[in-house]
Amino acid sequence: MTDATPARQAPSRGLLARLPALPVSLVIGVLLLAPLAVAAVAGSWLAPYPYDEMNIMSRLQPPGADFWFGTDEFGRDVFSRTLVGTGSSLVMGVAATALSLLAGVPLGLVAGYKGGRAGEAIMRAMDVLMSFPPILLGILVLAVTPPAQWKAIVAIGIVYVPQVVRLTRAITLELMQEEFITAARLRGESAAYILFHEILPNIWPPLAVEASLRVVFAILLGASLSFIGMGAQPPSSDWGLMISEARPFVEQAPWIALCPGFALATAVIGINLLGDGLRSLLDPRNTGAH
Amino acid sequence: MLAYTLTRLVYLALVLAVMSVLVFLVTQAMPGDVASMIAGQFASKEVVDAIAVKLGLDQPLIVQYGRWAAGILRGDLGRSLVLEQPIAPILMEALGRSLVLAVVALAVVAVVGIALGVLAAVRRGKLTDQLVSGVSYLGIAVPDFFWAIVLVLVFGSYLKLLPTGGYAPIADGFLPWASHLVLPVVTLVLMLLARIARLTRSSMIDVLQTNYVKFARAKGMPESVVILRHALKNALLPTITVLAIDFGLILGGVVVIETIFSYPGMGRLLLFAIQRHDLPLIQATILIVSAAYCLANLTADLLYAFVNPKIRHGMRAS
Amino acid sequence: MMTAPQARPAASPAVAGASAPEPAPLLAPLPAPLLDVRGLTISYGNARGTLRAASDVGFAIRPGEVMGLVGESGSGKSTIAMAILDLLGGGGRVESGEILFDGTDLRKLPASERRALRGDRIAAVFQDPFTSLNPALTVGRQIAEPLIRHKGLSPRQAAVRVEELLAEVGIRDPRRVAAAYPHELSGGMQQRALIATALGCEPKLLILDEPTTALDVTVEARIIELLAKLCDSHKLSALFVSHNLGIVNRICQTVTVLYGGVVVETGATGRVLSRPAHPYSKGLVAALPRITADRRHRLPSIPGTVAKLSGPPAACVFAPRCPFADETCRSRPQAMLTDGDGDGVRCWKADALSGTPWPDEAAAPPRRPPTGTAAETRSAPLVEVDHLRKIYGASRSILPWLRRAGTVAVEDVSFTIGRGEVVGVVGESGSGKSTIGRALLALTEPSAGTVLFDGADLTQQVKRGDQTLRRRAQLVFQNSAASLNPRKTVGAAMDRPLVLAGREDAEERRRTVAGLLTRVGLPAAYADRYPHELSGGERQRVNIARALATDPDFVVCDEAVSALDVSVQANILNLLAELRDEMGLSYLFITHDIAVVSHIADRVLVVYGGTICEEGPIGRVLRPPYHPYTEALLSAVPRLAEDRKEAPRILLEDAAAAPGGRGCAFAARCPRKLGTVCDEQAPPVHETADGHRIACHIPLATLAERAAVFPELAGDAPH
Repeated sequence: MTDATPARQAPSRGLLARLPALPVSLVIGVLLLAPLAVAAVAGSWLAPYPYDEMNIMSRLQPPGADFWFGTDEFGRDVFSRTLVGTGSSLVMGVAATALSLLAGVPLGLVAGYKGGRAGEAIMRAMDVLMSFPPILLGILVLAVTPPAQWKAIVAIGIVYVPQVVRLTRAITLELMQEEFITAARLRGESAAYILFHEILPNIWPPLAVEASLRVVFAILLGASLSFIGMGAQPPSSDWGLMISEARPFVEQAPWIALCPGFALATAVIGINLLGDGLRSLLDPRNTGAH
Repeated sequence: MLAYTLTRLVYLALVLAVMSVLVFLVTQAMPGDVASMIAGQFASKEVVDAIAVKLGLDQPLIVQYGRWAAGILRGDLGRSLVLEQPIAPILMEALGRSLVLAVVALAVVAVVGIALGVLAAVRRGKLTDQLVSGVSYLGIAVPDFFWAIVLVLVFGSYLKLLPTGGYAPIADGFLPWASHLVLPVVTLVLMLLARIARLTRSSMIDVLQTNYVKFARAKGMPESVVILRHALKNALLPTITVLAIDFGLILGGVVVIETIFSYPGMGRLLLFAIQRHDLPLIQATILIVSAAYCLANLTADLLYAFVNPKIRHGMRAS
Repeated sequence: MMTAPQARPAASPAVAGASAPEPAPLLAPLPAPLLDVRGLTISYGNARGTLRAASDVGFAIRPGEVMGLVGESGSGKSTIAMAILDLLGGGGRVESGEILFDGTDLRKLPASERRALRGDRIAAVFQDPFTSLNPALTVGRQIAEPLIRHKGLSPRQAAVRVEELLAEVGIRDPRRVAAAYPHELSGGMQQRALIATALGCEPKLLILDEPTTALDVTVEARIIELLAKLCDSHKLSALFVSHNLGIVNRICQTVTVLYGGVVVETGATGRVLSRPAHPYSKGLVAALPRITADRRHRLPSIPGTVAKLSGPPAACVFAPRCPFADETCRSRPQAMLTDGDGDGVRCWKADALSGTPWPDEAAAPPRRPPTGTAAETRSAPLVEVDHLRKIYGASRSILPWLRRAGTVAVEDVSFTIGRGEVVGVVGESGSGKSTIGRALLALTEPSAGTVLFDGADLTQQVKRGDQTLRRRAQLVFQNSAASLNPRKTVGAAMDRPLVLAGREDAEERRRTVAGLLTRVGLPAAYADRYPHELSGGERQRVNIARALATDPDFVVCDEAVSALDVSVQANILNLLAELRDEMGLSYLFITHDIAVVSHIADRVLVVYGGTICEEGPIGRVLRPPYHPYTEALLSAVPRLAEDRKEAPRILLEDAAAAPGGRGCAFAARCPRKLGTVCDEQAPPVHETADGHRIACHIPLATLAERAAVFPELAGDAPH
């Protein structure tokens, strides 16, 4: 139905020309994430108190002028801890996602492009990994040795590898059917050139969207692992750990849990909106391509 | 369809076999040695070695695996070191309770999620759509354990409407049983609702733009028929797959949820086993939960094939 | 099965040219129109602007009349059909106008009443039967729905009626088809099911939106015959939306020509197609490749690209592409000039131009015969295909129920292509024609047999990583959009082959790219553009330029002009012919359109079910003796001539080809099948002259007895 195609506008080149057309969700997402990014980088300088400074005199203080979001059972300032914990919580999600992309994208490309026995072997291995419920796979990996945060990152990374592989492979297979790939084969391009110059540039937009959503899952999974004591370890102020530690006092001092919970929600909503925004920004239908 | 089912069953058996090897090897690598745990902290080396020989722990790994696997095939999951009793009955009881939680939560997610998704798709871009997105965002914005804490705080501590933890067997009556389920189920549903609603919405929007929907409208079918008969049946196909994946998320998620609500299911059992380094119990729990997850996936695939006439009527499934 | 030709009485008497109107009959006034569209203006709007899909469109369809609404893509024809059905989607809006159905303005009715009319009084059949049926519901249930909804039948009564309807549209086992799911039926059967659905409630008006475009020619011929018969027997009126003038000629009494959302001409079909009055109609008719045309001529073509309006037209919409346009045309919009017979033309010069044909480019140099004599061509072929066989999807699984013998795509095909020779491959979907092309380019590995390119086995060379030979064989694709990487500029796409050829000087490469773009008729500045910034025709030119960048000897054109509009198609065909003559290229020209092939090919292979049923010089293949399949294919081709309105003389069954059997692949559908010998033994090959071969069990003498499908070709000496 080309009858319905709206008249094409003058093509806009450069990001500046497209700025006014940025999706609202992208803008809100960036606005939500910006303060978190600042906190992640400069949290310990901005915090009014050291995150691990205990003060027996002011245990379980409600929010007030001295302690904006109150104190925990050791008298530590909840706001400072949340601020400092930003890095730990976000890094967990981002690093784990990066890890799964690093391992998953090449495997997916090979499985999609080469196919055959190698591809089959990769996909069957992924099937086995995917046969474990995600958090159990994490626990299985983590239970081997004493818990530590970097191990949790590796575990979450492994949990999400199969999904990255599957997505990459699916897109690669789809692209392999495209005629411009056939054209590249016909002019005698090497496999490496086709993979890196023809396929990869077309894979990254959907992967970027996927990655943004993966980060959300990874942050939540990381928080869950910290919550059950298999992620970040005390006295870290990782948000998941903070909520876990706050649980026994939730009736007397709900603020201990609410502050990191609120921060977590901001991060998750921000990244989700960012992902949605990216999706509509990178959708070829919105850039004039048919 | 029969060939498809057979293939999937053969495949399931293979995956489970590989999985059992993995679980066995990983748990072998765990710190803590079964023999010294049984013998106790102060036992001499000779006593420990004697126990190891008695349990066959001095034999090569492959032999140990063979014995373990053979036991599982007979329904013998071994003995728990900490609880000092056979694992199978404990595990099955815990699994049953967890499954109740998972199945109720899944049913609620499916019904509410699909309904919200369809509503949002039909009212695309309108206030209803925005509301559904907003509500579903809230659900995934914070981890399930945070919702659990909030729910406990509100319904348990402040309103005192519902029990905040524990479990009542159905023998005690339906109401006590159900009331213990409400908060854990709501928590699980909050975690999963968003994805199902959003997926249903997007596949529904895709289907509503297909030619067969246009043709149904050209036949003069009212919108209710177009949506429920023509669109929904096709739009549900991807949702079914994701529901199966969600079943796995629930089974995993129960580790956290059960801990918070002191619900005596698989999740708590697993955490207990890990904290106490009860190797046989860890092995058995992970294997059984994963097997349940695989079965759920298989069921979903078969259901998918059954709902999709292209596969049901003899076409190839790949 | 043969269907008796259906001579359709024209609803309005044939009229003379628009220049000499006959007095309107006073005593027998024409009946009031069933559908009367007046001043219909439709726009699509989104954040990036608005598009006028239809501007002040008006036409009328009388009871029992079939009107063709023709135009190229972007002309607004489908939009108008959807507006009548109140099914405009995607931001489409009717701005103004009236849609009078049986005297009632549909636009004034509430949505519920319009819905009640749909499927009952006004029924529709859409273009793509594969996607118009719901995959999750049985065919019978989908046909029954409107019966239950509009006629209040019980499901049981409806089921009975469904079987009657299926029988009426020519389905032999209605019970089985009613219980089937759409994917279990062939395309032709699916389209019959859709037609049965539309007929169910005995509508007065049918909206047919390109109902045969997605089908093969032989299936299309049958569906058109069915539609014509049904419209006649049910006294149906129909709006027939199509881009295919030949099909319109076969089924429509009147025709309305759209261009850029504006009606440029309307009138009796015979008159409009034989003596078009509007310059655009003239161009459209002239640019259509015809089997009867002398293929040494260039095709007349319409320069430029299709107009798109964003507001009311300020000048004649066609002026930028019109060879007769002058200042007046470019400065003021055109009004519709009508006469008493309902003929109308939106061109103030129409009368003055009545005798002037579309400018023919006959002055262009006639094409040279292939370099060297025929004997030389045969002695040193460029491509030699020997017993090529390709099976897809064979699987050797350890699980017995997963083992599969695979599907035969190509079954034992041998032929050669000489240097500078153009070989056409004609066949329908599933004939294996694309697989042959891919095997020739080493894009797919033959299951058996060899393909030699310039004496060397290309597949083996590519396997060893030697790409030098492959660069001499290139491909031009059907889908001009998909064959260009959306993230690369045109220049970058064309630069790569040059880099691979070892040309190191970037400035020199840039000049070469500019030269290639100029060669295919594009401005050199297009090197900086992205594919989505070009029109379909321009993209196809880029594709050709890119294929030429490796300086090939041989180009496979796989349906290279099929997706293009008629006016653009002629341009590209002419370009391909020029390049062949100038650069001495050989082509393998793969197409389903035998008319296109007759314009460019020296020799033709007619393929069916993975085998060659007939091959030879184009002049021989178009004349008897024919292979029965060739004869059916030729007779299915719709034609424009006013006196050729009768049905094709051969109509084939819907049955699909079953390649890989022992006998003749065409046996299942062959109207002249001899008996079991056709099913069980491979047909012998008869040779006539000039390398003309027919593979058929019927003796050559019997085949030669058939009359020519194109008697007008009889006089020409075979090439």
